[in-house]
Amino acid sequence: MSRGVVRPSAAARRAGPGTAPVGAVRAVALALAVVLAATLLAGCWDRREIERLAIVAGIGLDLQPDGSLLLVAQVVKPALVRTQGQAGMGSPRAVSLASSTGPTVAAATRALCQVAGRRPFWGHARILVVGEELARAGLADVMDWFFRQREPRPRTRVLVARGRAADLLAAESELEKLPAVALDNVLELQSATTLAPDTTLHRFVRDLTTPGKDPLVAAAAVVSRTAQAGFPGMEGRPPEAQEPAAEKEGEERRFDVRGSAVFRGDRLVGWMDEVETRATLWVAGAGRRATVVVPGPAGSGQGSTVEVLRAAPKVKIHEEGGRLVLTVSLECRAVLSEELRGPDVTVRGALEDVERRLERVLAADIAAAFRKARSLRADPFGLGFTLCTRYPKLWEKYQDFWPDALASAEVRISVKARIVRTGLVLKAPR
Amino acid sequence: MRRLLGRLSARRGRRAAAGSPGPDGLPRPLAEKLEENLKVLRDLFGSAPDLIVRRFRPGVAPDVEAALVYLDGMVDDTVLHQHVLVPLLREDPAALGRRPRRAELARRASERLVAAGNVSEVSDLDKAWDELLAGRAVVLFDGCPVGLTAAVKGWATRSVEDPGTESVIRGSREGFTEDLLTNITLLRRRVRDPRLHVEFLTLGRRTKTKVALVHLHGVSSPYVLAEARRRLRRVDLDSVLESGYIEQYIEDAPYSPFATVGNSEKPDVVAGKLLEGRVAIMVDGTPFALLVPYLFIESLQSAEDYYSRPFFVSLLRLFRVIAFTLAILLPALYVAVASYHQELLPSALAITLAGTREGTPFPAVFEAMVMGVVFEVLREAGVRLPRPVGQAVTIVGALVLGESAVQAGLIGSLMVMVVALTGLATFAVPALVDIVVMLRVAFTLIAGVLGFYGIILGLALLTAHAAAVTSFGVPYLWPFTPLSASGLLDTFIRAPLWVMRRRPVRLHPRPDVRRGPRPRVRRRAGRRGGTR
Repeated sequence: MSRGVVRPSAAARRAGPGTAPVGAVRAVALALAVVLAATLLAGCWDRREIERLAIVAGIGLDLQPDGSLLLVAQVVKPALVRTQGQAGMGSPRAVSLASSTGPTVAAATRALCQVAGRRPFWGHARILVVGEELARAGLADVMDWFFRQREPRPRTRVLVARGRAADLLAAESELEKLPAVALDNVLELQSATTLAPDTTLHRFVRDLTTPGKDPLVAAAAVVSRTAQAGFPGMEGRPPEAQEPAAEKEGEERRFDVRGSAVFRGDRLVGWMDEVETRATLWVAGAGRRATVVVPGPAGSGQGSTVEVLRAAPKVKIHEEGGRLVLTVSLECRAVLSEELRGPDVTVRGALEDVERRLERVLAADIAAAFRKARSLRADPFGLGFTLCTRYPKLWEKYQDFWPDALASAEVRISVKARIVRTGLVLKAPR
Repeated sequence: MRRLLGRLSARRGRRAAAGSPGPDGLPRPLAEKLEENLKVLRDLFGSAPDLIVRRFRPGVAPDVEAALVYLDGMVDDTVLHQHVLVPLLREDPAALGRRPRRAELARRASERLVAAGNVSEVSDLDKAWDELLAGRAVVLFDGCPVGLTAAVKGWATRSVEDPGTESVIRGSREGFTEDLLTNITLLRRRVRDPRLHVEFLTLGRRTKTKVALVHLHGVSSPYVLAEARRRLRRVDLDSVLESGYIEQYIEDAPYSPFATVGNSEKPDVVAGKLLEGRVAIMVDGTPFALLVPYLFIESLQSAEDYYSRPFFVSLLRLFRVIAFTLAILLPALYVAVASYHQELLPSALAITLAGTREGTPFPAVFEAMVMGVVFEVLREAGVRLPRPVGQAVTIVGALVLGESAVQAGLIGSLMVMVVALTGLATFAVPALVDIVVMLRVAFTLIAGVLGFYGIILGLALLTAHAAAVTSFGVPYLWPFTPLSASGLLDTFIRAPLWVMRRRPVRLHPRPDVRRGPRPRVRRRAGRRGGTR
């Protein structure tokens, strides 16, 4: 009870009920004036009703033959998203494509208003699709707008279209009403498959500006709706992207995210398939869970499929007789997810046998990834960055011609795999 | 000049509370002559038909003219007849031993004749009509300047019933009535302690309303008590029809949205508050007792909280906090998100929101305000109308109006949900309904103008204001600010009773243990499950 005496607006009471004291009246009037002035003069400044926005779910950027940019926005039609019923083919599309051109991104976004009739809202853009042409020409210039503006978000995922970005954004999705969301989900699912890099705008620019690291971006193609999504491994390499021109007229198209686009700096220099991408991501430390098919002894018809839970890379770099030697070792833990007429895992040594085979498969994948990256003179592994941070002396020596140094370095690969769980079945049925 | 007027009015107030002035402000002694006194009384009451004057000659002094005066309906006829009129009429002079002198008649009659418990003498007219209005019978004798009053009151009162405003699932079902003495009895039955002190005051120059200041001596804070007494004495009103009149005159912050005086209709709640060290102000003619000091946290507490087991109650407290927040902020948040901060929603929700608002003609803030007004109108209509009609209003209003407004594309369907949820949340904190409705409007408007920035600004101002308010010397936001660890035990959580062993320190300055620890329940080892 520190304050025993209370001052209950004594002045107010003294003046009797009904009459507020003059001081209070003036204070209230002043406060009201200030509040009204502040709100009415400055208020509603940025007011924009949500129903008057064109919510953009996906952004596409293409390079026009004349050198200008083509901006394609997948704009949501909210009322159609809400309606019940089947998504995808047949029903009216819940998105519309609006496109505009301009010399710069900002200019193109302004031009988009003329087409859309609503103010485009970029805050909910889930993906940015970059056309192959533009990617080859370099992305550094178009990235600026995405970070300088406050609406677009750095967590927007990036894809490179094999072909034109506009075509990819026009592709349908069976399940999602918004194709951009489907594309976004595919990349999000890479934490379970590691078949394509899950690169956000933020990561792209971070890799771009990091010395000794080149961005790796998921590649997507437009394919026929009936085309199968194949898993790489036993039957060999995945099919190359089909030429859009080969499509029949009026056929439904869907997208197919597989492999990755390899950048050198901000320029696209080549493609990696899923297996190379996966190995690259593991070496870069960005790989998550992945399913790997391990063939059994030739002719036995046996084979195991394992799910790699985590793969921890370790990179050591040293010089041997003036030549750079990179020792890449990968330690991974996996679970057995499927066996084909496989060994009885209760038999001693059977599991170890699968582990050794897995190590050989992974080592071969990593070697393939290195072959591809070295042939493209790119470093999507970030080995240069490792060199820069851990061996600064060596980096000083090699930084000016790092891609070539990487290409001519000796790479020693060692993989250590351990299968930690075998699942609920002891012996595959035969 | 203002100060002088103020002082004058204050002085007048003090006298109004202390004495009982006549209509012209001057006390008038009883005259010797009966006729004169009766005439004054009749004139005073404007020949009211319920003013009964029964002339008689007392049995003890048959030569003296006497009159029994009372207000019909305010006295118990049976008691009046058997214990006042009959003895006065029937007893013969021998009853008094010796024949009394006229001037002594009143005193002798009260000593020997009148068989009522509460009998007193009255020597001035103003006192006499005062007593009449309090339901007492007045006996006047010719030639005697002193009258006699007897308590024979017996007007119709409502019986003790289930309180309408604070219904409980568990706990006492008794509620206060309009009769002050009944109410005090209800309290005394719960707190059988002679230190339950009751002070009577009369407030209201015309209504002469009896007001009781109730506190538990030794538990209540002397500061609070003195302050309450001081403020009550300064109340200068011609009428006190409900405790709300007094509340508005004694509250700390009359211009604040927050109430600094609490009220309750339930004797067990008032008893609980008294035991915490609070002071109750009870007013004749209303079942609502005022309770001071009143802190913010009390509006989130309910009597039942202490009757139920602590864990579920703590969860309920949390829900009430959420409900309070929602009730104040939900429409404002909706407006801010729909008009300013579309990027803050998850994409799917933003698209859904945009879909529901597709084609609606009004901006979100206008929509929210209109729906808010519609809701309040519905509520008001439902409250004031008789119950069966009230339900019809609610159904028509809520279902038909909401549904067709959405169908017609006038408002978004999400807005209807927001309004409905807000309404429900409001009813989850009944003690805060007034505050919530006012603040909700304010926040919706400011969100419509400034978005989240405005909401945060408003919250900051509101918190600063609430932190500055005190109620009878106790900071309104106690125990949050100033922080009190022991006080926090009865806020968002309700600790077990044996943990809250001390009374709230801010209300009760002396250290005092009110509860012992919980007796240990020992499980006997070795003996398993068997009943003997």
